[in-house]
Amino acid sequence: MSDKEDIKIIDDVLNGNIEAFSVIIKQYQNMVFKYVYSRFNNYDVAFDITQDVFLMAMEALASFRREAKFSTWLYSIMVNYCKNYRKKNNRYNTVSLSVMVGDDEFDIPLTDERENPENEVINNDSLRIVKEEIDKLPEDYKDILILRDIQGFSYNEISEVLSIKLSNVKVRIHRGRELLKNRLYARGLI
Amino acid sequence: MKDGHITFEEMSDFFDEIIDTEELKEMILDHLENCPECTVEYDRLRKTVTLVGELGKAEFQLDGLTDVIIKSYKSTAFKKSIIKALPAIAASFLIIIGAGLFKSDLFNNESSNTTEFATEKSSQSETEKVVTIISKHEGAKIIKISPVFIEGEISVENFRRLRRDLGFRKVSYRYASSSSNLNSQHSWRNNIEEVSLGAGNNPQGGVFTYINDRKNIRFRVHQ
Repeated sequence: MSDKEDIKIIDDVLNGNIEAFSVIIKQYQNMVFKYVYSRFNNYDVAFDITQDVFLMAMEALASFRREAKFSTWLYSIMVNYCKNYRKKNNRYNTVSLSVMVGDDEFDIPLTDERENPENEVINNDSLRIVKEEIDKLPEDYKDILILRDIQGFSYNEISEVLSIKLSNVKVRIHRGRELLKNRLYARGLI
Repeated sequence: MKDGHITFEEMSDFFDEIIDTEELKEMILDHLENCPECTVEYDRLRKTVTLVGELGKAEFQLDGLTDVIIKSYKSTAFKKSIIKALPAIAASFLIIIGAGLFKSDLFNNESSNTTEFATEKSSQSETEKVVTIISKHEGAKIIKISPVFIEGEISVENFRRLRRDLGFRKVSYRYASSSSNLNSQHSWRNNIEEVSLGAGNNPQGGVFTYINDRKNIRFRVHQ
């Protein structure tokens, strides 16, 4: 869907046709969900955050200035929301769930019984290792590699979404890739 | 290039096809064909990026997400409109309650409230009447109006007529000296006399006399 088509739908929504926004949601939901899932590795969290991102976009629609593409604006909301969510949730200590049976302690298994398509992809050991190593990267590098190498954003798009200079985009991509490459090499994957 | 080899940054830019100049692009290509070390490094970079890209191939089923979002937005928008309207609703409620109380027996009590109100009304009217009477007399000044009396000053020659017009009202009066301060508290201990309309007597034997420069009488009409 072109940017012009996006603008047309936005105008429709602003004129009172809320249902028209469902076209936008369907167009971008996979992109938003994949990014969020890559960040948090949890289906429920990714689903909730995806909802919130689109709700925020709807509420702020009147303030969309149309100087950038709508998709860029939407992804900016997505990236910033994830950053704030992470900051907020890092404040809380995690507690391991376990149950005592006599003198023995057993962890309560938390499994997601739903089918997770990513599991099919990363059943492959190699990809499991890649995912582990990406998760260990510093946040700035993780963000940029997800946007560039998973989502396929261009350098200019990344610069607009993250509100950083193009030169900074390049530097972060270089460093993120080099760090990941060295770690994958250390684990014998490449 | 560094130390005779391509830098990692140049490799990464080359991989993403964002090398600025054709010259540099050609140089990197030539070098990769001839340098085993750089070729290995470049291959590792390529595998890394390819593996990361594989993670993005998963397709998630997000059925129902659109409906959930639209429903949630409509519900939130409705709640916000109610909250915005709350002050107006509260104000309308208060007005209705106030109007109801006003029309109720609360303000139409047949007790002494009515009498007090009527008395207060008539008192106000009495004060106004006295003020009106005094004001109609030439040269008369009203100095003070209190709940107990109205104090004024008038020339001796006009006092008689004023006294007559004040009728049944109780009046105290005395001479006022020319240097008297209108705002000072005069002693009424030396009142000339209280005179009623029916007395027919002038104060002090019925004759107002000019004493030195005393041309005015200070009077109080008691309420």
